[in-house]
Amino acid sequence: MTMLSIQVALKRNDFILDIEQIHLSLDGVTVLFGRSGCGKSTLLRILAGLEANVQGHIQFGDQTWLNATHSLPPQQRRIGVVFQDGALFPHMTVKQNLQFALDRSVHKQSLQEIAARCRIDHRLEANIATLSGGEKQRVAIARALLSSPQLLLLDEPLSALDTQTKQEILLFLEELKKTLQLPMIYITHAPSEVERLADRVVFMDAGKVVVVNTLKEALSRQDSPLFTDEGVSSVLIASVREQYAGDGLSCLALVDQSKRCLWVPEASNEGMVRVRVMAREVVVALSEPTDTSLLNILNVTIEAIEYRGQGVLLTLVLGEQTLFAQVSLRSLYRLNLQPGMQVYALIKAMALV
Amino acid sequence: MWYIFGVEIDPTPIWTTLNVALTTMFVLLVVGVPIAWKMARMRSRWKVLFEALVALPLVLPPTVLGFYLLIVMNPNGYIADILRFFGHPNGQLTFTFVGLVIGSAFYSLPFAVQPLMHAFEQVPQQLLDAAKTMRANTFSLFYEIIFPLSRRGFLTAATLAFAHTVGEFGVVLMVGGNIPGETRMVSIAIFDHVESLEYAQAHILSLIMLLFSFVVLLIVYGLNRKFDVKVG
Repeated sequence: MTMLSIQVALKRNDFILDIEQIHLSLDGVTVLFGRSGCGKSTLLRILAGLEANVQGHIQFGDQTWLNATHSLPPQQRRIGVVFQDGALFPHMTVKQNLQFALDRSVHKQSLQEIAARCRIDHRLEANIATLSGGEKQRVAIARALLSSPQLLLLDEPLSALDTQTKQEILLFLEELKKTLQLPMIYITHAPSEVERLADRVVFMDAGKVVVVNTLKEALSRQDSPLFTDEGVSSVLIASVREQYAGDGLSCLALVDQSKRCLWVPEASNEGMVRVRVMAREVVVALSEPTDTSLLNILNVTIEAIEYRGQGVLLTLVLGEQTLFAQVSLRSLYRLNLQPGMQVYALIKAMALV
Repeated sequence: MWYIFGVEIDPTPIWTTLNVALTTMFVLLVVGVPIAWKMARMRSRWKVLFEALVALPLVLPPTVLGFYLLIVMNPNGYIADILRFFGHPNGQLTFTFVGLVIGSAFYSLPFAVQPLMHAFEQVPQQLLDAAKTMRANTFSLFYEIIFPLSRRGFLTAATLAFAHTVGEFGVVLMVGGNIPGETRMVSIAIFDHVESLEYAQAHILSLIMLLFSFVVLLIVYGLNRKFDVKVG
C-alpha cells in the first residue's frame, strides 16, 4: 500500500492553504471533503503539480514530489486527473483524446479495452461537442486511465451532471473501485458521494485539514461535517443476495438479520454494496408490524439517545453496523424508548436509492 | 518593365513590398507568439503596461516611430557599434532592407500580437493542465493544443501583419528611404509618381494595390468562416 505524506503551504492574495503534516495510506478511495473555497481543489492541483510557489513536502511512496529545493513537474508524477467538466480537447475526436494519453503513457494498454470498460467504445469517432455530460466524464476517466497513472485524482467529477447521470457515473466509479487496484483521491462536497465511495475522508475547512477519518469514524459522529447540509445519515454495508426479484427490487443480505432481506430499488452492481439511509427516513416500532407497506423491518438495539433541537437522534445497532433514526420527543415519551431496548427499525424500500 | 494599358510600370517596388511584408509577417509570428502568450497568461496588474506598450504603434504617427528608429539605428549609435563588433561591415541598418523589416515589425507589432493574445486567452488553462498530467511536453502543448485551438488568431495575425506592412508609408519613408530595388515600396512609388505628376502610373499602381488588398482580405475572411464551422 502506498503512503502519501503531505505538508504544504500556499499563499495567494486572498487565500492561504496550510496543510500540516498528514499521512494517508492510499488504498481505495480517499475523499477530500469540504465546502466550496475550503482549498480542496487547490490541494488536488498541488498534488498534481499544477500549482507554482508551493512550499513544503510531498512524498508519494518512495518518490519525492516536492521538497524545499525541487518540485517534480506534473509530467513526471504519473497521475491521472479527471477534471470537473472533463477538460477534453475540443478539437479532437474521442479516439484522438484517448490516443493523446496513450501515446505518452509509460505502459501501453489497449485503447479498445479501456474504451469498452468505460462504455464509450461506440463513440470513438464522435466529436467532443456531441457528447452528453455523462459520456464526457466517461471519456475523461478513460483518458486518465490510459495514461496508466499510479494515482487517480478526481475533482468533483459529478458536479456538472444531472441527478440521473450522477447515479450512473457513481455506479461506474464504484465498479472501477472494485476492479482496479488504483488508489484514488476524490474531491466532493456531496455527502452521498462520500458515503458511496470513500474509504477515508479528509475533512477540510478554511484552507486547513480538520481531521482525517475512516468512513466508519466519519459516520459514527453525529456532529460529523457530512451531516451539516442534508441531515444525519448512516451507511449499511450489505451483499446482493438476489439482484432481480422481478418487481424492480433487489434483496440485500445484512449480517445478523438471518434470512431477512433489505429491499432496495434494483441494484446495478453485484457483490458488496453500500446503502445510504437518512436518519429522518427511519421509523422505530416496539413490535413487528405485519399489515404495512413497509418492506424493511430490522431487529436493532438502541445504543444511545441524543437530544437534538426539536427531536432526538437514536443510535441503533444491528450487528457490527450503526443506523441512525430521527424521532420526535413525543414518540420518545410515548414509546418510552430507553438505551438497551430491542426495537424494530422500519425503512421504506423506495427511500433507499 | 510592365506595360499596362500602354503605360510603362516598374514592377520592382511591388516585389520589394511583397518581400518586406512577407519577411515582416514571419518575423512577427516568431516574435509575437511568445509575447502574446506571456501577456495572455499574465495575471499581474503590470499587464496593462505591456498592453499599452504593444498598442503604441496604433496611435503614434508613423513618423514618430520612424524618427526614433532612425535615431536608434543611426550608423554612429550603439546598435551600429554592436553590429560592427560582430563583423558587420559598416553597422548600417537605416536605408537597408533589414532596417526596413525591423521598422515594419515595430510598426505592425500590435496587429500580430493582439489577435494572438485574444486567441490565446480563449485557450482554457485546464486543457493545458490536463495535457501536462498526460506527460505532454512544451512542444506538444503548443503544437497539439494551443495552435489548433487558436488557428483563427494565427490567420488573423499573419494577414494583418502582412497587409498592414504592405500599406505602410511613414515608417518606410523615415527608415527605409527610397532606394530602388532595395527599400522603395509601392506606397512610396505612388507618392513619387504623384509628385512628378505621373498620374497614369499612380493610377495603375493604386489600382493594383486596391485589388490586391481586397483579394487578400476576401481570402482571409473566407478561410475564417471555414475554420469557424470546423471549430464550432
